[in-house]
Amino acid sequence: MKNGLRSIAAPRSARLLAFRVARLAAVLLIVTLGTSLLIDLVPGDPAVAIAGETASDAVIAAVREQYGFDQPILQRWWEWTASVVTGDLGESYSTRRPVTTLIAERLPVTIELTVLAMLFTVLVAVPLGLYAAYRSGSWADRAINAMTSALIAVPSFVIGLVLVLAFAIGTGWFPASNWTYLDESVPGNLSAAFLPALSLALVEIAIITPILRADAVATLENDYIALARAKGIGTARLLFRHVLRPSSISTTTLLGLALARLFGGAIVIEFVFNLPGLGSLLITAIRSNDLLLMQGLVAFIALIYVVANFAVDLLLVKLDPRVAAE
Amino acid sequence: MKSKIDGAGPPPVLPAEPGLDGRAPARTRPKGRRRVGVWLAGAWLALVISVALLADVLPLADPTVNIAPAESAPFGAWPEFLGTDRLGRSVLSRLAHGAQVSLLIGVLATVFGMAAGVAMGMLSAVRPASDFVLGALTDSLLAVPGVVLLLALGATMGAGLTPLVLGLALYAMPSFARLARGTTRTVHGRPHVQAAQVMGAGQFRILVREILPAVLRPVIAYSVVVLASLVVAEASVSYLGLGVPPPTPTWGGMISDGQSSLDQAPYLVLVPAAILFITVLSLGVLGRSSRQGNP
Repeated sequence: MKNGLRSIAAPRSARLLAFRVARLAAVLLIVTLGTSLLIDLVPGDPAVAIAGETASDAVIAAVREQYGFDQPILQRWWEWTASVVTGDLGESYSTRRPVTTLIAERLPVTIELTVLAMLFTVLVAVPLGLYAAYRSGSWADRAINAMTSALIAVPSFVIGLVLVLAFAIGTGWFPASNWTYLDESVPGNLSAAFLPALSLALVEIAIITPILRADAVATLENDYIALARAKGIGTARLLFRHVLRPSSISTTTLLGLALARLFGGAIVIEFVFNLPGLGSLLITAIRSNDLLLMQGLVAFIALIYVVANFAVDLLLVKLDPRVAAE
Repeated sequence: MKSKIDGAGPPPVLPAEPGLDGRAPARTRPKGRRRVGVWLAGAWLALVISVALLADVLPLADPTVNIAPAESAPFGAWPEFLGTDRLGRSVLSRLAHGAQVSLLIGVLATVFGMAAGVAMGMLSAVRPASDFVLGALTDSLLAVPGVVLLLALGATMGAGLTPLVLGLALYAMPSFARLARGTTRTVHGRPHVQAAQVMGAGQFRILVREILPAVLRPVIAYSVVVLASLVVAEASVSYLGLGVPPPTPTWGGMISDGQSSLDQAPYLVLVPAAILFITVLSLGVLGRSSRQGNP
């Protein structure tokens, strides 16, 4: 019976995988084309924008030649994409350094913030959502609901500033700005990362807690929960072992999407706390008209998101094989 | 694992968008209390909208001119009961004019994003070929975080109203498209649509006359929630200093200006932040109640 089912299911999931890969390729195509098109939106001559108004004609011509602004869009896109595939994102004009090096320098900060924020989110949202579902309708459930629906209306940078006011300026427990690298000092690094990661996480907690709660309420109505209860399983074990997995489909999807939101949110939060991550690199690139650096960064951020979501899609099939049947 | 044998367990419903259909089921709360919240939210939004509309007529100080003394705390003087900023400009007047900018950009972008998203979503629901294209296109738009999209457009098109509205509309479009696509597919099989088909109506006529009214109802309810997120996005970009350029006052820009004196004059951050928070919260409350009105 089981083997019979699997032989029917296998081609279906293979087709699903093929569809997802085709979608992934299409998305990457559109995103790279879109980022190449960005340069055409620059009013006037992009070469002048990069080199500066005061640059001589020879310099402007050299910039135009270097970036291929004299070529048609499709050719420029093809050359840029071809070099991206070989791991070359070109050279940043304002710093004269390879874009990949700049990204590699800044990436650890953003990754650390994102990972910590994700960790905080899961550590808080999962117990909170399960407990709210378990005590559905109680004062605790209503308090959690009121808290998350208020929190969802606060922009992350406002959360960051309020946290700075309370825990950096007010109590002096954490630094208000600046970064300590992990190899300089581990406690210093964690203390510098704590408030920014918490600001990012609070937004996600507000999004994920009510969704997990709703799914867990539905799961708790199942007969097997009553059976597990009858067998004498404790509350914590019941919630984490029997309720969490069947209730985690929407939450897992959202956590995949959260990665993109966290990356986007990190841009603003890095600005609040003055941290040397990808976000502040992007803002520097925009302020100094460094179009190639900006193009590379946008494409890179999009790539991370697309790949993460692809992985989440595959994980969902693993969590609940019925997804593959859709 | 036991649940899989008898097919029990929750239905594998995937929310298309956070907050789209993943909401917690309506709670058995006393009806009166919820209505009070909706009334308060409505009253606040009415206040913000009328202040924004009347900002140029009301007896407010010029938002770009110093009225001194600088950094006077709130509740100290009348009529400037919200104090003055670092450059001695009236916080009250800047908030009122900032509301104009926030609402104008938010509403325009929501309307444009809604129009484009509904058209795309409905088309993709009835044309399987365009479904793949739409899916890839919305996925690509969703693949770029909203702030990055806005920053990239602002950086290339130059700071100002047009790139902001365009970027926010693009940011809002995918979720409208998904909602419209889902509703169109549900409505498509209903008897009145089939009747129109039997009577020989063209596909375009069926879409506009028979399906569009049913699609618009959830879309309009959802647009309030979208407006809230667009107001936040606009404030974030202005906070980063890449939105509508100064001296035009914006709520995000005011928070950004106040950050440098956060330790001496925290109200310069807290007052605009609170106004932004209450406005977004009110939009969220209204959006949720209007969505509960049309299941």
